Amino acid sequence: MTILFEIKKHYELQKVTWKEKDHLVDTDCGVKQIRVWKDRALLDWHVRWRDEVGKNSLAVADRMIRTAEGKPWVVMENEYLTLHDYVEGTHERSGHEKRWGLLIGNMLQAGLELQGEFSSVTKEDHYSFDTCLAAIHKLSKEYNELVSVKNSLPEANKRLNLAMELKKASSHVPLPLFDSDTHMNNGGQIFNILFYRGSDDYPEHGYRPLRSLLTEWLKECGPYSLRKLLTCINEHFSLEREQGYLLLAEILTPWELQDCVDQLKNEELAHIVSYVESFEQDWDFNRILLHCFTDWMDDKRKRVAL
Amino acid sequence: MSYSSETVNYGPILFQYDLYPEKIEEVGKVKKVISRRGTFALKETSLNEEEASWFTHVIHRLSEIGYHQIVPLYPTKYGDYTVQYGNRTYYLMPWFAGGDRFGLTREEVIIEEIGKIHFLTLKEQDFSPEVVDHSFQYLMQRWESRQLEMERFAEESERMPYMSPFELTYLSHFHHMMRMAEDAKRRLKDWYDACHSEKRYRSVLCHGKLSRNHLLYSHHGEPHLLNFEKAVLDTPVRDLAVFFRKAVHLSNWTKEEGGRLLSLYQRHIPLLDEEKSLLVSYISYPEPLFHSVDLYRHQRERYSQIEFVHRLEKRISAMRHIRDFCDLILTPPPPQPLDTNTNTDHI
Repeated sequence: MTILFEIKKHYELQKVTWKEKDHLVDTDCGVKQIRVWKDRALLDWHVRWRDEVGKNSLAVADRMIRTAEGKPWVVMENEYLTLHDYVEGTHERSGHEKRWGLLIGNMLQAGLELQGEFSSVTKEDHYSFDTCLAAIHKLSKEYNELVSVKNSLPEANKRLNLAMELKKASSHVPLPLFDSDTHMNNGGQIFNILFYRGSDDYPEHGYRPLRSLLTEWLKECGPYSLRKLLTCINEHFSLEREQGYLLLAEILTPWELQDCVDQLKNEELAHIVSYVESFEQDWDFNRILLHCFTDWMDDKRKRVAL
Repeated sequence: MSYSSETVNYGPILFQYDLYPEKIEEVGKVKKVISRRGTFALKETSLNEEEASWFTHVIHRLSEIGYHQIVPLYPTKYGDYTVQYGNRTYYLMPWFAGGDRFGLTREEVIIEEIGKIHFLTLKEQDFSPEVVDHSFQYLMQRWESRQLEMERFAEESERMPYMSPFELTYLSHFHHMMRMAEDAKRRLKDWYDACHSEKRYRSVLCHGKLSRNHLLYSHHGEPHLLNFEKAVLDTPVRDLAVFFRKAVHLSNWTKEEGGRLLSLYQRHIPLLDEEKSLLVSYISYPEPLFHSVDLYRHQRERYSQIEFVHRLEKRISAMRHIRDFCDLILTPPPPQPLDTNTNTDHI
């Protein structure tokens, strides 16, 4: 009741009722989503990147609706409440690369511009090949099903070294911050707008979330559409030079091995086979992604040379 | 509820205001948006990001300094005052449908209101000879190059075996136009010399596009100015020149009427002598006539010969009104009556 009262008061709404308790409210201006934040610095980041991305009206993030006083949040005891538009359903992918490219390009641009200011609110996930190696050696003594995982180790090591070399060569280049929980299913459609539902998580410093998104795109839409998407992103945020190498480094990093190890560590034998299969699939998709991206970069370089 | 194709097109913009229109009508350059939450005016512009930001700043600044007779802008639900969609920029205002205020003409209201804005934003600039030199040289060069263009057109017309009615009318007034241009340049030089000798220069917030169409009345009959898209910090003369150039076309125009409108303005901000010279210079330069020639040269298919001739003659007549008005501007005010009060202490 208190939340509804506060929303009604601060946003000067006529009617506010629960549509889904603590999550969605039905108002005279449509269905709105509620988010509650504890960390002010994190909230500041989420307000800023959403505002930056929302400067155009074709591909926008779910910005914070302003209160009657123009504030992006309402303070409630020690927490902050924000109100967002709620758009059901998902936006189409294949054939809409231009719009997705605009969204992702703007997200990268905003992340790069804000990285200095918000570097303290990021979450970092460091890759440790040695830890993976040790875990796989230990697990392979117990399970025989890990042959393919073991066989991937030399290539994983080679890829990791290459990624580290690329990162070292571009160590002076700032990395963009990126919403960590980025998925294609977060993109909704209203009128003719790609409406992106951002997360409330800590952002990641670098290209790992984008790598996941590109893999998702590849799986669903295929390599041709992926290349189109990369070209469209590139129209708004250049991936041809250092930033492109840093994305390449992230694609080279064998994160799928670490993900697999994490899952294997905590699961029972019954699930092992499906995890290994999933790893094999991810491994193959990542190879295709790497191939697509390097091809795309080579193509761009050729065009410049011509 | 009818969703026309227009409703669909404006959907992404109106979504930002949580407006779901029942009807959208085109009224002049704005869209009248009728929704359950009220009636609004949506304006489409070509402002770029920087210009949109300045425009928003101007509206807020006017409000901050206590000027409230402007049509307000509504923020989007995200707190923005303009919406970019494709390469266009939009903003939303309340729909004002009030009638003219009884007893006052639109020109009287506009000149009063612009006087108030100029007074509130008046700033004595630090005198910079370079800035004044640059402004003077820039305008002088532009005017001279325009004169050259017109001379060239006169020569071309003279070479014609059969002159068109427009060319004939133009040539018969050509020397008069050139004299007007020379007079305007002389006045500009007067302004330049006075600026240097007085070492002063004033700037105000100029509306930039003053027009009787940019005045609306609220339901309570309160006048409100709108369309500050071209607002700029410049000499107050900029707005006055635009205003008087249009006002001389009014059917009831007389130089006395012009003088009365100018004194309405000067109740808020009396013009300095050099500003009067600049005003005379701006309005007496025959640019409207030259513009008619441009139109004839480049868009000949748009109007008939007779329409072109009428347009030119109308402007020549307006320039005559301006010349009379300029004489009045430059007439020194009558001397103050002598103080006959013998009780005052004079040494």
